[in-house]
Amino acid sequence: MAISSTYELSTIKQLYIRHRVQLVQWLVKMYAFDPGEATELAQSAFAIFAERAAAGSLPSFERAGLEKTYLFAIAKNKAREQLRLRKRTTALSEQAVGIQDEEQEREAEAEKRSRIELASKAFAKLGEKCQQLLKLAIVFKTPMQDIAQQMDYENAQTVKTRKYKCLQRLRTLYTQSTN
Amino acid sequence: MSDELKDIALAEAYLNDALSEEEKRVVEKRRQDDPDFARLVDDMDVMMAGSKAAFRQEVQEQLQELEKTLPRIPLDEAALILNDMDIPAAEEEDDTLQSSEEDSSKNRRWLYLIALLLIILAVITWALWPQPKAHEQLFAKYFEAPPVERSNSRSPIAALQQKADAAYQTGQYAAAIPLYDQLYREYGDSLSLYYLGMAQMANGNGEAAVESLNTVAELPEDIRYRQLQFYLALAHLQEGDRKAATDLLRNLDGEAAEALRQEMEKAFSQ
Repeated sequence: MAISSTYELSTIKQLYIRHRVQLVQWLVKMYAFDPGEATELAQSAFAIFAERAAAGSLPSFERAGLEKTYLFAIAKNKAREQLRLRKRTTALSEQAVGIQDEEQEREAEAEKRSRIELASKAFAKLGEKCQQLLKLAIVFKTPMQDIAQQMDYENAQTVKTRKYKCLQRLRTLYTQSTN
Repeated sequence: MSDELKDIALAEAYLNDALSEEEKRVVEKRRQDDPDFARLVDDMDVMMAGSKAAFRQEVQEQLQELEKTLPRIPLDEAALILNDMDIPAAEEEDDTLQSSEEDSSKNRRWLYLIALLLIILAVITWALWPQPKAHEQLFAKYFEAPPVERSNSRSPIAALQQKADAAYQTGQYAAAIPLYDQLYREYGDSLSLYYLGMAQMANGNGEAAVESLNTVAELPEDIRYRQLQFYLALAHLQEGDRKAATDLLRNLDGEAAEALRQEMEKAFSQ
């Protein structure tokens, strides 16, 4: 299946139906995840794939089957990240002393991940228009002029100002959730 | 536009790498000097990542809904083995090459481990495999079923003799044994008793062979005395009675008997 750089949820769903079984089985076998974890990881890999497709940052899959290779590569990195996190949790639960630079780096990484998750939840509290605008601007990297046409704004400058206001609103919601 | 919105615009441009080198330096200097601005840049980074995460979450939720409508994924052993047959080599991701190397190194380690286990298993099997005992080895070395030597007979049992001899000559000792037994018991054919003993030895039954050959030796007919004694010794040897075999061999002339006796002495003195 050829994947264009244009994101289509229906295409992602078709890809999911086509590759989910093998990907989940592979994650179970290679990384000993339980079926639930493996399915969640596989879905998360497809979501990353979708994000890259939306941003137009997927490589060109001229050869058949390359999108599958790419998907498996994303899943592999996600799996390894997950295992690193698990390892870290185990180490902390065993009250390991003498945390080194690497551990501090992981701490910082985990903290940032947690902040991003909070921001993601705050995003869901934004109004529909702000959500749509930020999605188009940040995820799809749509030019301001195109967003103006799609969302019926006066011009690109208006869109820019709206975008900054939406980011400001998002930050406020995020800050509220952290307090 | 308010100052905060201007700062958000600046932070966003900085994070998207949309500033000139000079503008970047100004922003970086301000980040160092102005903690509020530094926090805002940091927060904008998180807001943009959070917007992308929200999109991924939305896709993931769609896939979770889709998953509920799809058949359950088989995760039994057979399915997992079949899965191996069509796994692509994941190479596009940044650190996947390293990961592939790690995997292939892991696979190599497994292969070495399996090879080592096989070698250990082979050594253990070899060590525990029942080795033939000395008397069995000597028997195997010296015993060869002698060919049938029988003058042409026109007796009524000739057909049965031919049938028994044919089975014996072709190595079908199990088939020859009841025929020779019948020829001796029903018709008193003493030569058949001799070959019965040979067939029994060839068939691995030294005890029966000793009985048959002892009976031959007690018969009034003088049937190949020297060979008979030698084969009787071999039959004793086959059933593990070294003393009886040695006693018989000691009274025999001939190179084979002498060689076997010496080898027996050597083997059993160790």
